[in-house]
Amino acid sequence: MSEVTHTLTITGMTCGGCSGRVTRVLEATEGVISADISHQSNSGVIVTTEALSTDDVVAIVATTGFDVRA
Amino acid sequence: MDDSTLSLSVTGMTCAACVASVERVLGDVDGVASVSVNLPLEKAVISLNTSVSEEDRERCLAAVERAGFGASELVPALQVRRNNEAHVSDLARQVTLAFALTLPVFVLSMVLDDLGSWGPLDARLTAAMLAALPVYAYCGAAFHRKAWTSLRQGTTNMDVLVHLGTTVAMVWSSLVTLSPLLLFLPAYVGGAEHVFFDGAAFIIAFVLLGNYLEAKAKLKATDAVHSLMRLQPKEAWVVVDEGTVATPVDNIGRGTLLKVRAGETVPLDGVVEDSTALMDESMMTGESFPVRKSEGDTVAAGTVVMDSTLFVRTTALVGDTMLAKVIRLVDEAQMGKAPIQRLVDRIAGVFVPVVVVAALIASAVWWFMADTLAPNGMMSSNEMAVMVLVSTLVIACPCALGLATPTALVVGTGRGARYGLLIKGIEALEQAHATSTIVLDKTGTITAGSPRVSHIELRDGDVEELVCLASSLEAESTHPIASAVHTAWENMGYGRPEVSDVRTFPGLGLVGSLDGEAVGVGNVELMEELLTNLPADLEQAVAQRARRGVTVVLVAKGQRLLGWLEISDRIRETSSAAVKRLKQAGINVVMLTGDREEVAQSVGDAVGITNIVAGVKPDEKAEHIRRLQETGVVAMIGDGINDAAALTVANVGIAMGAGSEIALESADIVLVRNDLADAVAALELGRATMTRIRTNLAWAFVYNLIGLPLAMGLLFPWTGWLLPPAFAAAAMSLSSVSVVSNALLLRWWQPSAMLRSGEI
Repeated sequence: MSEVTHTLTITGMTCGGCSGRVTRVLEATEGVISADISHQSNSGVIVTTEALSTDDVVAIVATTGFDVRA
Repeated sequence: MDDSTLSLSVTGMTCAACVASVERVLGDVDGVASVSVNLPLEKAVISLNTSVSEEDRERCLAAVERAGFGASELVPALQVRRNNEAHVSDLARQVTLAFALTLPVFVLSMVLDDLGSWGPLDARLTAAMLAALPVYAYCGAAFHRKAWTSLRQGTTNMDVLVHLGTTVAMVWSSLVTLSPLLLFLPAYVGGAEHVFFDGAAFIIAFVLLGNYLEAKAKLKATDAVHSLMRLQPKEAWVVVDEGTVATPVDNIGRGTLLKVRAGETVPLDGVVEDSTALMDESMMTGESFPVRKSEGDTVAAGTVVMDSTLFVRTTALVGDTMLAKVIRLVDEAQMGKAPIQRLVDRIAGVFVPVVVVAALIASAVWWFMADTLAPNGMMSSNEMAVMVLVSTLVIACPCALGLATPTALVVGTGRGARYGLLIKGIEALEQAHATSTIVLDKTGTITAGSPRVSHIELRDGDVEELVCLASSLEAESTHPIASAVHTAWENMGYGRPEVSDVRTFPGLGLVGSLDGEAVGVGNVELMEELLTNLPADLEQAVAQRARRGVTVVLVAKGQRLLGWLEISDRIRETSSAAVKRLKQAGINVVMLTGDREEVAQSVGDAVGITNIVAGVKPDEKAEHIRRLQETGVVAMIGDGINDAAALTVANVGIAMGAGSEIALESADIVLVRNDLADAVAALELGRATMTRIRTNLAWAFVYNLIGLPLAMGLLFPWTGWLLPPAFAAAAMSLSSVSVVSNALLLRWWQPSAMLRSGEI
């Protein structure tokens, strides 16, 4: 299974707690291999299996309440 | 409370962005009109377009959790109580109605003789049928519904028995009554004289009575928790610039300064500032002796200020206070299912089908063979067959079995809470009963855990130098010995030189440097490392003191042995009585400590413990417990912080002093007070509860054992004894009542008075 890297822009995160929360939610999702979220740079780099498309990842991040774009 | 409002407790919100996230996420949920989130109160109040439904709750909770927060419904405890009380009242009404409607059926069936005819039908029977129908169809509706739900899932339960029993009785009896109109029925139906309308009606009425009693018992048993809830004040005096303002406790965040006047109850957990007072903590701990709290001390919600005004800065929200945690703990414990309960459920699951088969077989036997086996003039074989079928189904009702355990457990755990014995899981009670070995931690459990410097021995230099050096080296240490040294130093009022390069050597002591010299505080081994010439008598002097239970802390500067501090720990008053009590109960008492052999020995001698394992490192404790478990069930008592692993490994982990989260997490039983006597009381409670459960189960079995053959008609050929359905219903109800009453007797349980006073 090869890995896919998705780079997203996530705005609205103001502190480590926020980015930590997004990381937790992602890492708890099946198919997510790693998630690197930074509130300072408003970005997220998420590595997943092929099972997840970028739209899927965007949707998951959206459930945390932040604005997210691919 | 507003029907369309839902309040949630939301944890994990750290900043305004989180608040925005929660508001956004909840706002997106179907049916939500508006959301208000409060960060310091960790609360979200949701307004829905219609009244709150189960789906609404689920959706909101799920949305918040998906976003990465923790969410749970904020149901005010009082609301739960009111719901339960309403449920009980509702059941009471149903029971009254059922019995009221059953009365005419009874009169028509058993009392009156003949009322003539209504056309081709017998008036009396028809009236009885009409009177019984409401009871069967309306009062009994829930049973029929639940029976079918169970059958559809492929399982059987009590409702199935009730449904079958009443339905057979009603159908047969109605057919008999209507037989003049239903000419296609075989002759024996019309010829039957006995109908069982009263039986069907009584069955339903009595089972409803059983349900009512069970709900009432549960309500009564949770009285203990409820009375805890009533300790929580609804309002508090918040200190503001102009004075104080009364604020609902629900709206007070952490770090708020409160004023609590004499006679008032502390509203929230907090730390005392600029004031001192005597506190009555009896509601929380059962300890009636007043406790003084001053600057820096923690106070708990639910305790009462006795003499002067106290200023408290809050450290917890209303849902996080020790009181709230205790209530939740007891509540969850009471709702849990004990292993014995699961066994009972499994037995009942097998029992019901077996009984149904037995009833059918017995019934069939009588149907075909009554006339040959035991001819009697009272009733035809067909009637007897039906009666046997109904009665057997009813008497086999395992509701007493189902009630035996939960009621006793609920009463037992509630009672424990009243005395500061917080039973976390119901399994804990069962294991407590079976405990064969108990392991005690020494420091903080058997002893008070607050060692004090009892003597200073000087060999070189002066006292000031010795104490300051020791204190300086131990400055960063949190070891109880360090605090004893600090206290001594503080009391003496010396200055403190700065020691640099402080390094800790576990099991030895601390070393640093001052004025270019190596300095150290610790035990003899450390001194051997540091000093080239040790006094010859040192080893012996230390050992001698150790035998008296005194720990020696040596201080060295450069090559000089300055002397030592003697530190001893007070043994709790109730410890030896508690140990004696445990041994009397046949429990093997073991002391496990990281302290020296001689110190442990002397403490052991003082309290009566002979099995001592000393010098145990923290990570070895769990291993020792495991080894002891090879001989039986092991309980462990510790202070929760450094015993966490051992507590988890032990069959029954008992934590003393309910302050730390770790204690609550790793222990099975939490003792609110720091008293060994309470641990003994907890074990006693376990035994009392289990005994009651066992007698209940035995009682329930006996009922079934006697009732079943009787109902099946096994005794008929010899004695002519049968069990009419109405009597079967009454007997079954009686067994439920006696089981519940027996369990409620636990409400009068008390820890033995001797333990409380320390005598024996």
